[in-house]
Amino acid sequence: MESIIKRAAAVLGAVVAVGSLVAVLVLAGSDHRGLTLESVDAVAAAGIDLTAEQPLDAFQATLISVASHERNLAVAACMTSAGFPQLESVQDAWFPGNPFPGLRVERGAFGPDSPTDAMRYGYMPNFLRDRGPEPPQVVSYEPEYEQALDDCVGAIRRELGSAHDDAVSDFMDLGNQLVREFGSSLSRSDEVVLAFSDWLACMSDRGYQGGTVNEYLTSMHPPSFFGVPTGKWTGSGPEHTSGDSGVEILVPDQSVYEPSWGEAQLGVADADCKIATNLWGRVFPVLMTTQSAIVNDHAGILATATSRIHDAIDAAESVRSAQQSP
Amino acid sequence: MTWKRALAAALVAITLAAGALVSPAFADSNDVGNGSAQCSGGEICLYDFQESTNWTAQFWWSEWRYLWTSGSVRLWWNTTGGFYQQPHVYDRVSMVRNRDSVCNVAFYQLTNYQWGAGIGDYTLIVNDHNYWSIPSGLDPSQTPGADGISSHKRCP
Repeated sequence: MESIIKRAAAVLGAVVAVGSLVAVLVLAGSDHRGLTLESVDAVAAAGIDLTAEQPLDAFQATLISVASHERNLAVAACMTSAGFPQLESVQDAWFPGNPFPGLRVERGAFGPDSPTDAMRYGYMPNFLRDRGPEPPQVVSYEPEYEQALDDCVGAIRRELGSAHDDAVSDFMDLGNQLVREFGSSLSRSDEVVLAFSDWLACMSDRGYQGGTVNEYLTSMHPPSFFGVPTGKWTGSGPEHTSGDSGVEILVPDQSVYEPSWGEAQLGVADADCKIATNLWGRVFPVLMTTQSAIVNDHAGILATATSRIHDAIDAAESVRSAQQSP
Repeated sequence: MTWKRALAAALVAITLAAGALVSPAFADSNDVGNGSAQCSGGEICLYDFQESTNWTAQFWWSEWRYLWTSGSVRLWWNTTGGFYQQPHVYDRVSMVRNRDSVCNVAFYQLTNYQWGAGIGDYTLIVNDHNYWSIPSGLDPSQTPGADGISSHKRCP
């Protein structure tokens, strides 16, 4: 009797072990049949190259960051002259970011594309996923620093004139307009609606019941749509490099997003259904066609706005050079 | 953009007037700025000018409490009364001021995910120290039932 129990326990243990191994391998993107990572990745399975140029790249969003940076450098030079050199040091760590990530179609645009992404990120939007290198930040508790900063910001603003602010503002307005047009175009395409309808049916087969395709495409965050709780951010805030008063430099924190188990499981089913319905293969070409149409519609204003923001950058460079001249 | 500047100038005057009456510091640990009711260098400052001109909330750039997750939700600081009050900050934001030393800050409405309902999912606030209006698409008072601004990102 004892040997039968031991044998049964061994068999049960082996089943559990094999099951766990298969689960781990599947989640890691490769199973015992030798499937590759690509075979469980919705983007790769559709044969789409997301590194290639996309029509809306014509809107050079990083120019906004560059224009702001040039103005900041002028302010920093002014602050150094006023006896506060902290801004000079943190500017060295700056890099141009893209403030309009929604204009470029990237992995994760429709939620997780692979079990690995689902387990790691859940439904965290990809524009928050990339924490990227962030420069430190100068913070102030000192009235003298505050006064000097107000004076320098005001002085640089007067030197640049309204043309700089207007060029940056108008460029941002154009970016927001393009985002709205591109985002809202999704639900207006019959092909896209049909693809997501098939995907929704697949999700239903997996036990995830939600609303309509139109509701999904226009307003719903997927975990909310399927009634699944989201995860949470963990980690501490930024670290102060000096005491509790005066002028300090904060260094970036290491906060990370941890999806809930339910969110991760939803993402695994989601990625699987994307592959089963060839969602990317059906939707991506439509998105590129839409992008081309939007760029054509705005070609004139895009060229003008781009030229103006280049002028704003040049003007800020001139002001900065003048500030740095002895 | 002219109306924005006019509005900004008016709001600066209002805020300065309110600032003369403020309590000296935020007493609650919920304040993650520098403790001063003024919008200081390095802070990102939110304002509600819809019903009251003296509600503010200030924080350093990595203050993650505006996320959609439950708990640890900040309330408005009443600068004339010297106390926190309802509603939650993210339920009603009308103006923002970015005094970051280096970067722009983007505000997102995560409840609408990335593709949105034909409205902008995020807005970018340049660190020019000006007062900027929050677009109606990100203002939950304009879209009943929405959670409004859910998060922000520095150096987007």
